[in-house]
Amino acid sequence: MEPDPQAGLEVETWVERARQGDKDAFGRLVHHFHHRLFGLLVQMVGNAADAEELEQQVWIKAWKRLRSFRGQSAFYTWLYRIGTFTAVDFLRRRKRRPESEWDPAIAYPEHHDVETAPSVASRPDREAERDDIQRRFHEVLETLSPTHRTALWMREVDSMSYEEIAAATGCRVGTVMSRLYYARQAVQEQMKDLL
Amino acid sequence: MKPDPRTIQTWSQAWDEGRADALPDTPEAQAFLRACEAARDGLRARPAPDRMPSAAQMWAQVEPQLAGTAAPGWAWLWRLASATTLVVAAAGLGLWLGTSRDIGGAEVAHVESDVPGAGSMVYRDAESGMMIVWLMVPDEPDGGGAGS
Repeated sequence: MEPDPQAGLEVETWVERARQGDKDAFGRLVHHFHHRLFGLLVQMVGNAADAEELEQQVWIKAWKRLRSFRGQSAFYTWLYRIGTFTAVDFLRRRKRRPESEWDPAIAYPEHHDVETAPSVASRPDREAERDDIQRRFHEVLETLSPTHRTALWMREVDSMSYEEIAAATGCRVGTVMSRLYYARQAVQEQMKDLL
Repeated sequence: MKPDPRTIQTWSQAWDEGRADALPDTPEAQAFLRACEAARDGLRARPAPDRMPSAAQMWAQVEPQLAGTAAPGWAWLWRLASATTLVVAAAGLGLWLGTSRDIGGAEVAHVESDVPGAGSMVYRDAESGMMIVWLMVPDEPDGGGAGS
């Protein structure tokens, strides 16, 4: 996802107006970042219902704290930071191992159906092979902790830099690099027969 | 031979910086490269959860919850104005108390504040003779602000 310079300018305008109390401008920010924020929260908590609840909390916190946003980082980095900490707090309160909560059958039922689709065998070899890789990848993803999944998601889907990921997750750049390396190594280890 | 963690981290960084060509042409490095590609493609190909609310639905849920919250920019200015009013009122009251000789011991006063939920009080400390102004502002629900 490459950043759109024009969208960046619009976001700056909306943020400034929202800081002055313009709810319509804040609503535009919700529309603009909803998909990305929801994706991040699903990665962290593992199901859509909790992610939806948490996203509401994140937006309300963002509204209340907009005054503290100085524009020194991108708005979405600041927003992701609120989202990350809200999700971490939620996982802590849930008091169960977050890994066991990740359920792709709940979070991504459409994708999960592909695993059992009877027509897989009749597809061209290349497509079937791609499905195998996808299926195995999602199994590997389940074994990763929320922080490793999140780092990989921010890097590969949101194209965030190490510095941005560090700012959004409240850790050091070196930690981000370690998380990415660990996640990729886990993918390699667990998929070596397919890759 | 399995590469050491430092080597793999170097490969991981090269991938992130778009320098996949810099990875050596060894089976281990190329396998790692394929793992990076699989992770990237796998994440990007993920469909949105079918229970994901639309942006309009999310805003419809969020907007009513902002109603009880003062707009962030104006709330700050409004509080500042209220606090200024309070200080001026307290100073006036202090001047009045200070110049009144026949006050009859009534040296405690309450001052109305425009800050919601805030309590305020002005009194003269008997020992020091100083005017004390108290303003008690309740915490915000999320711990966003407090004062006294």
